[in-house]
Amino acid sequence: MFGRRALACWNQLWFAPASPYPLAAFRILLGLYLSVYVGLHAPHASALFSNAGVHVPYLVPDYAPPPPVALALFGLFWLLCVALLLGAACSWTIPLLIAVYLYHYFLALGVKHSSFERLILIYLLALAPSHSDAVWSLSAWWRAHRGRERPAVLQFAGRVARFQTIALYAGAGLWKLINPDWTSGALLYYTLQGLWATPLAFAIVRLGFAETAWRLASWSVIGGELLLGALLTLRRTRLIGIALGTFFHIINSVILAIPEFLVCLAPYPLFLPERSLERLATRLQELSRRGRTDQAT
Amino acid sequence: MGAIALLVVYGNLCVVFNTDKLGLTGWPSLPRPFVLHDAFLIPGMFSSYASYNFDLYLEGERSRAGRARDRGRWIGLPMHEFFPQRYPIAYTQLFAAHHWDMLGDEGQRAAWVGIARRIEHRHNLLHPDAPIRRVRFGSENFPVSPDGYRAAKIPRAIQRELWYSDP
Repeated sequence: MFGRRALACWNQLWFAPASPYPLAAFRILLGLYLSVYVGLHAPHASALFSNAGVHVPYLVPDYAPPPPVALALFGLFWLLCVALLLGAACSWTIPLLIAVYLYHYFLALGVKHSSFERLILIYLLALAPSHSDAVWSLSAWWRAHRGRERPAVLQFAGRVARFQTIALYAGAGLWKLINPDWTSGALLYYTLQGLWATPLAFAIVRLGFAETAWRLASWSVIGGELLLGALLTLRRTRLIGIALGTFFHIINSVILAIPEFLVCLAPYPLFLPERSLERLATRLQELSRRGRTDQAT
Repeated sequence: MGAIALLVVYGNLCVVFNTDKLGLTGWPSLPRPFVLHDAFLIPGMFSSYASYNFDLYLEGERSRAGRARDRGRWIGLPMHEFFPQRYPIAYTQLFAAHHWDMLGDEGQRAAWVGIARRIEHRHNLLHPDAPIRRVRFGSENFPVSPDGYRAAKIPRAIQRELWYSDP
């Protein structure tokens, strides 16, 4: 009896129907991010992914192919990112993108040991079975053109990506909280003069703040991350969480030279009230209809 | 889909609440297989720092073939020919950051052997007139300065650290 109820709750949690619009917005933002991120590797694709370059395979034998094959596979990688952005046949392009992503990750990308590359994979796993191309996509346009029905979207992808986002902030905040280098302010002080620091970071250090100020700044980062986890968890405070998170990532990207972490913003539409994006979709449809009518007259 | 949901929830919980990491030595932790730990090691960014800055160096020992002027000598190799991405990324590649953190010194050493072979191969492809037969690399460490990354890089403050050299 209890087992059956627990299973019903589990199914209700992950597989109840959901609005397709927040998921489509998430797909578009992730697709945009990946198209740029992967695209920026293009000038170095041969040096990074072919047997004529210097790559560092992780946990796998060296399977780097000759440059022409490497370039073709890299081209496919980028095209699949664009397919994600445009929402083209996502039921098979996303699984293929995951396979091609893992190929490049284990061959060369993974050596960086970066959190953002792990996040990308989790986001793609969440999107893969979720009909994220139900609306705002080439597939949706094609379906409408052929008079086919829109596939149902479930809570699954939204909940997985929301959980991952909350775990990201709460986990990072917790680990910083128990790290004496963070609580003392030393880590922040040296990071802003180190490898990842931008000229703005150096300028901030040159202002000559006292040790207490660095400790306070460190605690504000720790508090901010923990708070962000909490704000995004509670439905009523999600909008504040979105604003705080966006501010945090933009500041991060100008102080430290790691704009890659902007990927954390991709799932933010999933925290918006479902109806707000539906209203936006309706308004866009009305505008497009009005535009077409004006053209016809 | 249920399996993916379970994986993401459990993977995050077991990594974030790793009691050793949280300083609760002796407390029980959720089982954390290597693959899961590696896949969900997301909250660990910026968990340590160095009180010095560094520039990376790459060197190759010229073979007895090719141009005569530097045969048998160690020559500097330009980083961008082998690691064309921006400098911090090149550092994570040459240091083999993932291997070092997850597989330990032995894993990093194995990665360095592979890196050295690929540097040699690429250099000999790009510069057939000046082939090399051995590779070594490391860092030149110098103090940090608020005036800029290399502002305190003066000859007497530099400490050269060899990470790897071919036998």
